[in-house]
Amino acid sequence: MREFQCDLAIIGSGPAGLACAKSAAEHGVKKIVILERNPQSGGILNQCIHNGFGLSVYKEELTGPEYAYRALQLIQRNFPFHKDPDMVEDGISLFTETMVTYISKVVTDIAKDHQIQALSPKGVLIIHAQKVFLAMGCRERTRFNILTPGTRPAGIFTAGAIQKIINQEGLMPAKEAVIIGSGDIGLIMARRLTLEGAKVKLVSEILPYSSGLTRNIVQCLQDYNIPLRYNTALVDIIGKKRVEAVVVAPVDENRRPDLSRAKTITCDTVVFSVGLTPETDLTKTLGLVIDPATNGYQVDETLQTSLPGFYSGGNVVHVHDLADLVTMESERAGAGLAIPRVPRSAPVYLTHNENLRYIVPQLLRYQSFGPLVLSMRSTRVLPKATLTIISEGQVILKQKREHVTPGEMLVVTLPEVLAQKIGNDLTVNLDEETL
Amino acid sequence: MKQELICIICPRGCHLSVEVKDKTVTSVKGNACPRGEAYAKKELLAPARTLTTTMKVEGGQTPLVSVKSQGEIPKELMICAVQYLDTLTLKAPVLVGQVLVENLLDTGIAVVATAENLEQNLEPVA
Repeated sequence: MREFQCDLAIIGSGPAGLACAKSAAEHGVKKIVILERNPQSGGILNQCIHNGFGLSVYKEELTGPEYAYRALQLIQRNFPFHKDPDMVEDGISLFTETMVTYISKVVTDIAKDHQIQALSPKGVLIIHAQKVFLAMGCRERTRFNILTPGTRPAGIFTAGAIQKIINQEGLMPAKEAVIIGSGDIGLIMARRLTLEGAKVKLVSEILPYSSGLTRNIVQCLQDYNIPLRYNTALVDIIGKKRVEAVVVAPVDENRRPDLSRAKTITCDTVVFSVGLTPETDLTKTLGLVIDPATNGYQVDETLQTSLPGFYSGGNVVHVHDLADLVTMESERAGAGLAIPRVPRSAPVYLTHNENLRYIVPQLLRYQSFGPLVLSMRSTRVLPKATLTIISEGQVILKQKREHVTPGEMLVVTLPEVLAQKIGNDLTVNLDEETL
Repeated sequence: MKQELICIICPRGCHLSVEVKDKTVTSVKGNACPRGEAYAKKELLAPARTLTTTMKVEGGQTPLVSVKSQGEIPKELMICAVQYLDTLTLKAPVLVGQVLVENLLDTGIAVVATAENLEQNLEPVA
């Protein structure tokens, strides 16, 4: 067993973990340890071989693996960097093939000691950390999350799983596929399967709109004439050893399928792209507050969770549509955990109207410090909308937005001069503009 | 003639309204940046895409390396290009940015690695 002390332990080395490490180091945090369960840093970026990453952060279009490489390079070039070291020194230490199994908090009069237990090729690792940044990302929802009936033959995958099998393991498990759900990974895998020789017979979406980016509908489906049907549900999977067919049916406004209009589509593969959910299982025993709207950690403006000393960012807080947004959020967390701030007399819990599903951060704990960034998602499509930020009856900010969809996160930055106007409450309203 | 397009240059996905007269684009509206105008012209006259795929690697830490075309290739060549690249096998080590194919299907566009795949017995840099 090995035992180390550090100032900051980061769990996960995807875009969130790497960005937080860099930002925390820039803000003077000395001993930083990153724990990564895979042999390589970068997280899910490594299997996202498509481009479209990095336009905001790196000002150029990168693929996922290139994005991961750049993020690591920024750390290696600017700070002392140690990979799988025998002892933890100043700088950033990355432990790979190291899987965190348990986190405990020990708060005594003398010290706050957060203990992280991990398994590595060299045995058990115990990390004593002053602060912890949770960057475990998210996990895919499966057929069971959407209560899909039918048999359980081979040939049923989540989009991320088939992405890993094709892009990293070099295997091609499909000839004829149907994709359930039109999230980004589903759209990207529709193209990938087509390019590698499979026939994608249908992308079926139960909602009247796609949760994926519009550009992906254009360049992944329309480019290859792959049909996309909205308001369509999967009602059966047929097959004993291997998938033989799926049955889909149109749904009414209550999402109830009309079985009299059901259609059978023969295929050997079903790919589920039915959403992502933050991967918070690791901290269950710590009892961190989870926001039911995001399924991720509730955080304040410094990205601190409900447990002092525990910070979080990226997809484990709320599922983002762009890696750049994960990077920017986690950079704010790196600063947030390093810079001491003056607390408010009482926290301000953000509220919003029915057109918004959630806002991150969920609360403000500190007095105004620099610009305040709010990330939010709408509940429905609004072709033209007005976003209003109100505190104590005063309108602080009013913005017009076009093409608001639940599939694209809204980010609003309140400059410091406006953030200072926030009093004892804060409401964000998104209202439809009628012509 | 008026045509509706969705710009795919960046994730913003601007909805463009394009006027076409005699096979030339006369006006583009709805674009948030100049790249939208360039995209609309190109998309209607000669659509092209950046290709991202994988290539086989022998003796590497993993069986594949991710690659991309170092520029856009005509849209209709995408499937042909993947079929061609799938016939090739590289030798480890492969480094990020390394040119793997100089002229993809006579497009004049190179194929470069977007990740590294070092020899099996060496420790990766990270």
